[in-house]
Amino acid sequence: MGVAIPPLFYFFKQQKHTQTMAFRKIGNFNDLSPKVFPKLPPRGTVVTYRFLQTFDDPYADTDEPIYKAVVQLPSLSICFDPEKNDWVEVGLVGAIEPDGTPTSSRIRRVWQRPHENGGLMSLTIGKSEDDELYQYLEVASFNLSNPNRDENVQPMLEKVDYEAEAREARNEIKAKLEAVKKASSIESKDLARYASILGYDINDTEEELRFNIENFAIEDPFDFLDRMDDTSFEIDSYISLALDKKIVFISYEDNKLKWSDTKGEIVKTPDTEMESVISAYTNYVMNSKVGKDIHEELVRMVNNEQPSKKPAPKK
Amino acid sequence: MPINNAGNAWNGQQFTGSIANVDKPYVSGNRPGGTNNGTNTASLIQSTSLLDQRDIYKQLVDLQDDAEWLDFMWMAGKKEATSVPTYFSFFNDKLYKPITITTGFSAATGGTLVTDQDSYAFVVVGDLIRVPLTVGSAVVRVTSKNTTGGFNLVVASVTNTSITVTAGTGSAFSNAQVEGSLAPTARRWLVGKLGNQTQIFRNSLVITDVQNMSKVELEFNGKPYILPYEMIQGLQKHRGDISLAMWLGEVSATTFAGATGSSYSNPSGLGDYNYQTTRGMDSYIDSYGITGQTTGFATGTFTLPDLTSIEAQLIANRAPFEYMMAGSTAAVATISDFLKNLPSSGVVSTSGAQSGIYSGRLNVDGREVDLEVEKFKHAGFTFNLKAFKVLSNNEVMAYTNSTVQKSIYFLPMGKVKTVGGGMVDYFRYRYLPQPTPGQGSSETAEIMTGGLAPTPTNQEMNLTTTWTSNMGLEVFAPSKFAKIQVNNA
Repeated sequence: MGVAIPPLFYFFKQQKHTQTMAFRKIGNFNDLSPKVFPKLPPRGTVVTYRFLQTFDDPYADTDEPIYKAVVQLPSLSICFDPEKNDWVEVGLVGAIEPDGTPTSSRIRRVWQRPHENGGLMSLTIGKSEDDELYQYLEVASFNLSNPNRDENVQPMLEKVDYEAEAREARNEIKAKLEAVKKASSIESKDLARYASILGYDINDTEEELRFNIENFAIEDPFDFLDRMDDTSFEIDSYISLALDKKIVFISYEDNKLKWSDTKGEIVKTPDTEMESVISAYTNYVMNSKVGKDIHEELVRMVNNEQPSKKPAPKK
Repeated sequence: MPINNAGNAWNGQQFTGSIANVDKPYVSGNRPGGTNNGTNTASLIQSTSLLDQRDIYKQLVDLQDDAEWLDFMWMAGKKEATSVPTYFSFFNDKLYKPITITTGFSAATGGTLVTDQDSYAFVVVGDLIRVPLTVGSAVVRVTSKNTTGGFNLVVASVTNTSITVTAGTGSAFSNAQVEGSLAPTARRWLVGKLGNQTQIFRNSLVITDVQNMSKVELEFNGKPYILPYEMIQGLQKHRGDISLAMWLGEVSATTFAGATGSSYSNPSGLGDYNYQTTRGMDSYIDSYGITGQTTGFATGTFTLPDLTSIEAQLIANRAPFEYMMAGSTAAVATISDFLKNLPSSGVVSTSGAQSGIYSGRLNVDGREVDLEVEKFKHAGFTFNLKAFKVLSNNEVMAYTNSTVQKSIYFLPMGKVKTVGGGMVDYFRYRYLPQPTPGQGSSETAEIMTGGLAPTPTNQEMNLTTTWTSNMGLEVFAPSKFAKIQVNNA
């Protein structure tokens, strides 16, 4: 009868399978061209990775996303080598068999506890285990940050670039400031036009209109700024307001934008969706002389100015 | 009733599929020359030329076994009634935690260790910590704590030797108090909780008077009618749905209790109601257990170092020493191949007389269940290898990105201790007893209505049978469960 090995002893015994091995070419493994072979950052550098998979548990004590408890990083992976124009097998491999397969007992197995560590894993360059793992992760396909990864492999983690993330966060803050500045400087006479194109009710009070527009600028600064910078914004906003004020209407029977008073056609539209109608009108105004004249008239009507002679309806 | 056999493609020998909610092709109304499956389907119910006889084995062959997981838990007695549709388990806090030292001190008999906030909160004055040194480690005693400029532990070497403590992980393994000391600072232990919920499963069938009395060539429970077959299939599907939910399900955000704003309004005007779903075994393990893959999973190989590595993780989570390794036939075959290829010295038989692997009955919490499992011991663990056919069901388990069929699940056998001396199954199913007319209550209620019901409920000549169960899975200590991918196909 066999004797069971005491677990504590066994725990230490198994450590031999996690022995450190330098990341180097062994057989077909890690046979990367010098340009692609990952280089180590300066000694002492701390490199952080973030695990990507989280889950929600309605019964958890926290609303924060929960990371998996214990995961094993795949010990073998694949990487595209642009220099070779071919895929290369990579792995934490210490030895290979005569047939080229990695020796199971010489494959390093790395387990992580993402949830306990806030979803992060830090490696300190200068420690041999961390060095090897860093170099492997740089070329592993389950690392989303690897530009040469196999897209078919489910990403498991990504390298955290604190500087880039700070830059991105700052850009967003700057965009918000700029967007709010632009939103708050809108003149009273233009508020309805801006509110209309952003989808708000133009009949709200000035205070409400300003709140809606400024809130939009804060919530979605990049979209707001893009719209403001768009060369067609002026025309888009006027036609949107003209539709809201019922100066013009969309004729659903024949897919046309028409004057409300004369029922004369302004432009034919591909369909009756609001976006398509505005786009069709804007193209018409920007690309034809008649269109420009019509738009001038529409602007006058929207602004309640004295009407001039309305251009003849389109034939 | 109109005939609609869409989905029941006839390939000349058999139907290649069926749609549960359409009329059946083997009963009246499906005449020769009809447009729906026409003469082919009628061959099941009509006499053929006297010289064109066939021999039909009258018993229908049962190919399905999708309720296997539920059946296993039922056989093993792993079930418990619940009084409400939501249930929680609470588990105790860890008694020891690793201490993260971010800054140590140089060449002194004592100094300040800067730690992270969690470590600082855990340690109390008088604790002994084994700290990392430039070479080796040493034991220090915490003499005071402060938060001036960081989370600081003021410590002194117990041997009063000059040491250089480096950043790293320390072990707060014990405590030492001075003679006549005051009581040390109390440590408050937290309680973790894990919740799950039951799910209402309902399946039904309807059969008309004509369909009910039309004879078929097959026999079900000795009778040439289709109803017994429909009843068996319907109930199997019902139990299959429960079984699979207890493997693949995710816990829903909506609950019976939080029905406000539900899109479903009870037709009797009782109010708004909602559904809830139970968390299955796969979700439990994927979220809270140990997940990994063998190094050779791409080629379907499992090795001793893989097993050793998994065992180390189980030990780290204070796992029990008897496990069921459950999986699809393909996943189990990978492990079986590994075992059969081992030299006899690699595995020690529990019988003592023989070496290598043997098959035996699975002992589940004292009950012997004849599942003919392969059993082996390694490193103090006993593993029972069990293939569940339901995990091999391609129609359910082969969804994109699924790893269910490719994985071996390590499920602890036996029971987990509860604080105070009790024991409870590591996993079991919970059920909210269903009111069953004439029988009190049961796990699954079968209710028959219509003019053909044993007690007719209206004049309509049909029989509607409905099965209802309200069940959910419960797992204690999912950190001791593991899911390891061993195949990639």
